[in-house]
Amino acid sequence: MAKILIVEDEKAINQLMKQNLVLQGHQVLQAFDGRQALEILDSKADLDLVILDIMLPYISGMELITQIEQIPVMFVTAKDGIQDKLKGLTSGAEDYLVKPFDMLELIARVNLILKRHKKDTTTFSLAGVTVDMVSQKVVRDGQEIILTPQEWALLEVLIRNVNIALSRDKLLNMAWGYDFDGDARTVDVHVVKLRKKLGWEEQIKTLYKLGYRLETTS
Amino acid sequence: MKLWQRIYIIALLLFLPVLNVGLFMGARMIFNYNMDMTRRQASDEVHLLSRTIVKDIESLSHMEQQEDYIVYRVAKPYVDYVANKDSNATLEVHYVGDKTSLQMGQQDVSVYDTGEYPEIRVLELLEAPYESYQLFYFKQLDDFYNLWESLKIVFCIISLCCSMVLAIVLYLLLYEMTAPLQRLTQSVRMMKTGEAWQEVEVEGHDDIAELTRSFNEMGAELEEQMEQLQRESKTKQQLVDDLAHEMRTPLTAIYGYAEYLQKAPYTEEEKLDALDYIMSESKRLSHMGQELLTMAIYREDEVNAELIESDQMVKDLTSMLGNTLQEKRLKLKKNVKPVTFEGDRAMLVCLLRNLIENAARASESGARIWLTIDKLDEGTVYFRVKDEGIGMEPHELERITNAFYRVDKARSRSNGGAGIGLNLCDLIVKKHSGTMQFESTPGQGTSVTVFLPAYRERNEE
Repeated sequence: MAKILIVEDEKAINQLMKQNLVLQGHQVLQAFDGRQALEILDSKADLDLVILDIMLPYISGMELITQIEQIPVMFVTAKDGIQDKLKGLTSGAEDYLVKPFDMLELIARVNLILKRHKKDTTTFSLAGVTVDMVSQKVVRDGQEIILTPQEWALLEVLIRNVNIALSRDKLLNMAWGYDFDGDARTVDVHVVKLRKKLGWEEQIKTLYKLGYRLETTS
Repeated sequence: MKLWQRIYIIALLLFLPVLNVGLFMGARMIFNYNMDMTRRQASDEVHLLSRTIVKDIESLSHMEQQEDYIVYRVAKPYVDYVANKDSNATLEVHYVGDKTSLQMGQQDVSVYDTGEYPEIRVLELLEAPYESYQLFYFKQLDDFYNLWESLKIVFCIISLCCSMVLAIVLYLLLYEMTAPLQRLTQSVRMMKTGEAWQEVEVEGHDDIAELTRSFNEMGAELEEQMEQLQRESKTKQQLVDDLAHEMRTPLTAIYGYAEYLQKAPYTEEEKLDALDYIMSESKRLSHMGQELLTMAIYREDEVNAELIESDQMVKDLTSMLGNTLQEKRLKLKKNVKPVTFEGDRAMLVCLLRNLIENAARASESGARIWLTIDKLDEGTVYFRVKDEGIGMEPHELERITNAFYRVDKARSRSNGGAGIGLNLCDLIVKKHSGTMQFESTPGQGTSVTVFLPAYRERNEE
């Protein structure tokens, strides 16, 4: 659970990023121009990450980043020239995301930055199950559940992309890597095992034609 | 071989023989003249001697002596005199009787090449009655020939010096004269390799200077064209870059919301919002495409000139504007004088629509926009669109006709502008040989005035 400020003048994109990050359980603040962003930054909001567009009304992202201290910054921009990227990254940004971007890419990058700054979620609780992401300990109703490494890998991916549907192929690749020798059925088998072990029959949803989704809302 | 080198060699080949032949002939003339002088001198001297000797003999003729004795005796001092005066000369008196080829009073002057030096020989018979005696005068011409030899050396030196001076002067002269040509060649070579063109210095008024001047003109023209091409291609590149950039944002939104609907457990409200965004962003893309297309068409199109009544045009315009104004409850104040002018109706309506839409975008809800159409003078019509919106900074004014340039991105985007409007306006105004003027004060509003010639110039097409 992190507190994230999104500075993006394009309302549609700002809202989209917010929704995606809220799905992950993050708390999101929005700014639509440089001045608003500066106000929020000055109000000493305890931010964990700033997602910053470069071309902004009033105060550009490049100017804003010089005012931001000790908060990791990720640029999100439509400028994809190598020069722009270099400029963005050398100005002190942690990462540089080019539009149009994929939801999973945004989440993965945000997670990476949060992890690097030790602000990522360390425990995840859902339906009587508590998962310690660091020690990889899973407790269900006070009882520790032993997971195989493969089951753990799958669980981690599901938790890291909570509330987002992941296809079987995606899960396969994200959990066990591209060179893992297995097929879509392997995913199904492991999902069934996880559901049984954690009692997440409802929480890990099977979506027709899409794959699986770990839901916190239901 | 270079031209100047060729000219140099040809000139030298032509000039040097002429010079040397001239010098040689001059020397020869001097020699001949001197020879003549020598001969005449010798002849005169012998003649004088002969007459003097005869006179002396006559004055002694009363002496009863042998004739030859008298002759030799009289001649003796003269012979000595000649020998003393000039060691090379000899005078002799001989009895020749009838055995002579000479006539009386005649002289025989000849030059013999006897050995080391030529010798001049003068023969003369004494006057009657002593015509059986003949004077022999010999003179070795060693002085003369020595002089001639040294003269020849002097001439050779003169010839050599002249040739050298000529060669050097000609070299320098030709080199200097063709230097502009070399510079020209250098410049052309540089131009060929695509380096920056440099103006070649023009000297004098000769052919080369003229060529250089023409070349300079050509170079300047070429450079200008190159620059224009580069500018155009840069503008085009900028347009493509901007277009790619502008397309990314709506595409990101469309893709992102579609993905969200696919993958996230959305609420009903989120679904409606997402669909709304997808639709409006698609519309924006399509609007952008349409404007670009319009621009491409107008760029190619010739101005389809017809007589336009201002009232009629404003009617067309009002129907085109649709609900642009109602959305923000803007009031359009029209001050349209009934003027008639020539122009492309569709283009001009498009121009005004764009200007008014821009004004609408810059305005707060409920604000006013003024439209004025009037004649400035007989030959000029002007349209003015004035708003009381956000206005612009002076440095922003310079760039507003660039495609996709936005003064206030957030505001104009939320109003759905594609960013090509003013670029298109600029194109239309230029097609009509008109000008566009912007006046703006931040926070107070902007006024755009378009001046158009009321009548198209006929001879243009």
